[in-house]
Amino acid sequence: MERVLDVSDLEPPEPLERILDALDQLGTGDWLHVRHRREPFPLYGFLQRLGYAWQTERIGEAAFDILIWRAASHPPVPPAGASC
Amino acid sequence: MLSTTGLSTEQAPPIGVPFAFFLTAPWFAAAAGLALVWTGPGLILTRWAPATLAVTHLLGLGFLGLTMIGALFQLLPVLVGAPVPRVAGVSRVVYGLLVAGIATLVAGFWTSSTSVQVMALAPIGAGVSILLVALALALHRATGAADVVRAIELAVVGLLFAVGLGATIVLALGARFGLMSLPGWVDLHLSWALLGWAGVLLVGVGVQLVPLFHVTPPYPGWFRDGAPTGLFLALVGVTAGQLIDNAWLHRIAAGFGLTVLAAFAVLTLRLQAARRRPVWDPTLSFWWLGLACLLGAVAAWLLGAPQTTLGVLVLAGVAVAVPSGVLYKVAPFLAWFHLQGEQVARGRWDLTVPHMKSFVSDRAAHAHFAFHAGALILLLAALAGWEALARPAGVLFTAASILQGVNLLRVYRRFRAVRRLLASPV
Repeated sequence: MERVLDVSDLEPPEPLERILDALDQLGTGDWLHVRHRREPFPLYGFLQRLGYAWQTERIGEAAFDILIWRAASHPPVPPAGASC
Repeated sequence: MLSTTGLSTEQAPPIGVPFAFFLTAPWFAAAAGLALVWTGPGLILTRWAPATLAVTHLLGLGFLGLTMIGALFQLLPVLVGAPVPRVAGVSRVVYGLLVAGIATLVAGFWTSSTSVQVMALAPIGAGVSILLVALALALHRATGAADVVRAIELAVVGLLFAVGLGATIVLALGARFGLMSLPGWVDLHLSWALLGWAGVLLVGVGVQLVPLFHVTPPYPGWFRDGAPTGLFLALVGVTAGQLIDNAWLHRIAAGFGLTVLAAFAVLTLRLQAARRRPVWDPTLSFWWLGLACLLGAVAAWLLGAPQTTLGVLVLAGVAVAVPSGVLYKVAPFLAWFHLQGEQVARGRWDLTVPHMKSFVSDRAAHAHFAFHAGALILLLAALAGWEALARPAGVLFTAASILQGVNLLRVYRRFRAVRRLLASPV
C-alpha cells in the first residue's frame, strides 16, 4: 500500500526527519511516496544503511517524486532496469 | 529523469573536513579587525597601504576563501552528488598549505617584504592546484543539476585566474620581471577574485541554497541558468577591455556584470520576502545586510565613489556577511546530519539527536550580527570623514569575528559531546 508524504514546504532538516519517521512506521509490503522540492541526495546514504531501495523521478522544475521500499521486498513499480 | 544512484554514507565527507575550514576562517577576520585597530584610519584611506593589502587578503583569502573551500568540499556531494575523491587527505593537505600560505602572504604584505610574499606563492600555489584537480575530478562525476555544476566549474576557473594574476603581480613586485600598468593587473586580479571566483560561486550556489534553506519559490530558470555564465562572460569582457585598452568594452562589460549582481540581490530579497514560513532568523539578517551592501557597492561604482568605499562594501559587507549567514544554517545542519548518521549506524534509537536549531542559539548569532553591522556602519562613517571611528570599527569587527569563531566552536563541541554519547555502551 502506498503512503504519501509531502515535504515540499519544510525547512531542512525536517524533510529528512519526517521521511525517516515515516519509514519507521512502514508496514510490510508498503512503500513510501515522497514529494519533495529538490533531489534529496543526503537521504540516500541513510536509505542504503537502513536497507531500503528507492527511485527518484523529477516531475517539475522544483518537484521530485521519490518512491522508497524495503530492499528485501518487491518494488512498487518496475524501476526500468535501474538498480541501487 | 529517473535516478536511483546517490550518496553513500562512506562518500559523505567527515564533518572535520568542512569544520576545519569553518573554525579557522573567523580568526583570519579577527586578525583583520585587529589590524584596523592597530593601524587606524590609514588602513581605509588608500588601497595600496601595506596594512590594507594585508587586511584585504586576510578577508578575501583567509575568511572568504577558506569558508568557500570548506563549503565546497561539503556541498559538492549534497548539491550535485559529486564527492571529492580522497576528501579527508586532500582537504587536510589543502587546508595546511593554504593556511600556511595565507599567513605568510599577509606577513609579507604587512612588512612590505616582497621576498616573504614570493615565499607564500609555493604553499598557496600547491594548495590551490591540489584543490583544482580534486574539484575537477569530482565535477567530472557530477550527477546533479547542470546549472549548478556549470556555475561551480566557472567559479573554479575564476579562482585559477585570480590566483594566477595574483602570483604574477607578486613575482613582478619581487623584481623577477617587469609588468606594465601594475594597477591594471591588480584591478584584474581583484575582479577575478571577487567577481569571478566569489561572485560566480555566490550566485551559482546562492540560487540553490536560498530556496533550500529558506523554503522560497525557486529563482526564475533563465536567471539560474544564465546568471553565473553572464557574470563570467562579463569578466572576460572586462579583461579583454583591459588588455586591448578599450575603455568602452571595459565599462560595458563591467556594467553588465554589476547588473547581474544587482539582479541577484533584488531577486534574492524578493524571494526571501516570499518565503513560505515567514520566520526571521540570523541567517536572514546576514543575507539582507550582505545584499544591501551589494546593492550599495553597485550604486557606489555607478556614482564613481572612492575605491576604498567599494572595497569596504564588497569585502567587509558582502564577502563577510553572506557567508556568515550561510554558516549559521550549514554548520548546525552538518552537525545534526552527521549525528543522525551515527545514530543510524549504531542503531541507538534510545537516544534523541538534538534539533538542528539547538546547536547555536539565535541570540548568540544575532549578537554576532549586531557587532558586525555596527562595525560596518562605523567603517562607512569613517570613510565619509569621521576618521576617528575607524578604530572603534576595528574593535567591533574583531569582537564580531571572535563571537563567530566561538559560536561555530560551540556547534562543533556540542556535536562531539552528542557523538560520544551515541558511541557509549547501551
